[in-house]
Amino acid sequence: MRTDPYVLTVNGHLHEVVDGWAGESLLFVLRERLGLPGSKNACEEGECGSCSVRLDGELVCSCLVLAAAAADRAVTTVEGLSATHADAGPLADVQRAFVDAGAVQCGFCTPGLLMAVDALLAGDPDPDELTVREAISGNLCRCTGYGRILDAVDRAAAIRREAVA
Amino acid sequence: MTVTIAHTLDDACAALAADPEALVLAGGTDLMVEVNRGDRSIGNVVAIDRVRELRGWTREGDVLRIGAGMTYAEMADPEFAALVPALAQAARTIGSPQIRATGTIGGNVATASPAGDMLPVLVALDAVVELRSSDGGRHLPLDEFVVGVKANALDPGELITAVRVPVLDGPQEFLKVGPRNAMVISVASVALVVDPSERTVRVGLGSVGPVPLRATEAEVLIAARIDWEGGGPLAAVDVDRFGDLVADAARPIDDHRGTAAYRRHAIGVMARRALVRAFGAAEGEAA
Repeated sequence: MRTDPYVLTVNGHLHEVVDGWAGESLLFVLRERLGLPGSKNACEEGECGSCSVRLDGELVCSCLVLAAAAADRAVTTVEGLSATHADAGPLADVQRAFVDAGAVQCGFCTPGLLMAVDALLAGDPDPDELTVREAISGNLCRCTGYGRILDAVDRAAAIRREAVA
Repeated sequence: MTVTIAHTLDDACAALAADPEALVLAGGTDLMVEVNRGDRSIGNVVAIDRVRELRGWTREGDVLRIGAGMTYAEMADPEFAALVPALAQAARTIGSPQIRATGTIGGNVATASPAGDMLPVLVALDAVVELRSSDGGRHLPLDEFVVGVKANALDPGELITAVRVPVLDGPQEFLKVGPRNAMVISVASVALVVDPSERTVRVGLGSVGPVPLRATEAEVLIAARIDWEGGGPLAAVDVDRFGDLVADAARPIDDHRGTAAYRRHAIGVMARRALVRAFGAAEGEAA
């Protein structure tokens, strides 16, 4: 069954979805219809966090958002991160920090983690380790053991605090 | 297929009156899992996450009215958490930040999963569920609303608008066990609430039966043993007996998350722990 047409606002751009099928998640539409494959698809049940995006600023699993129900809300994906931190150069601060810390191995969890860390730092510029661990508790990484990810969060927080200072 | 994005309760009720079989979509953290798996056929949808009347909470005397659309993240509000601490504790243990940002109390109640973490707290509080359709409204006690494993008493065209619980001035505790500190579906859970004015202790059990259970015998025993006026310590034998009676009230099964024997053991341990947290360390020899 097809859905009625609807408009998604992704990274500040409007996209009309005219040929959607019933039940399509925001993750599916981002990847398969809008050409934004940065958000990853692994569990499709909100368990892994690799599809994390911001929806009106809130960190959510895009696999659990019915795309048509996200009409007229602001969606930010990992592709929109560097645009929101243009001063940091081609990479956003969190992306720069993950590269510098070597926090990326296979890279599959990285986009979701970047979104989670970006959301964390937006609300808490200097989080302690427990706060960081809780903030990324919904993002599974099966490569790194998280040590370098925690390091990357510290680096990103420092970069961001310096940019504000 | 039409997705109606309701902005008012009247919008939502009208859309459900037009198609009583339409799916009601709140946070999506349960429903979309089923849709993604192909376990749930999807026709028309009424999205209620923007309905203003369903958001937030209000206090009316000694009754807290919690909007069905209140998210787990919103329950971290200190003012809310002070009024119903066990519910706030339970909300904090659910899922991840991503899940807590969208999942709602109304969705948890409607899903009626044996592992729904709001449910043991709500059953301990004798919560009342407010329902509404275009034909009007009705109230159901939680234990009449949750009628089986993932089964509720909603009529077609009806939705949950709020959950009502009493504001009590005694201690409250919520404990659960699972394999991690995050993203855990409860293997067993206990909610304990104390009502000093009625001199009652109420215990709700989760994940140890098809529906949330009360541990009535344990409640009666411990209420008779507490030193309500003097505030003296509990006797260790009574704490032990309380845990045994709570374990007896469980009706657990073996499944992929745990065995019935483990669940029964864990629920007794957690019940004793909750009681000691509420009333302080016990004195004397254990049984």
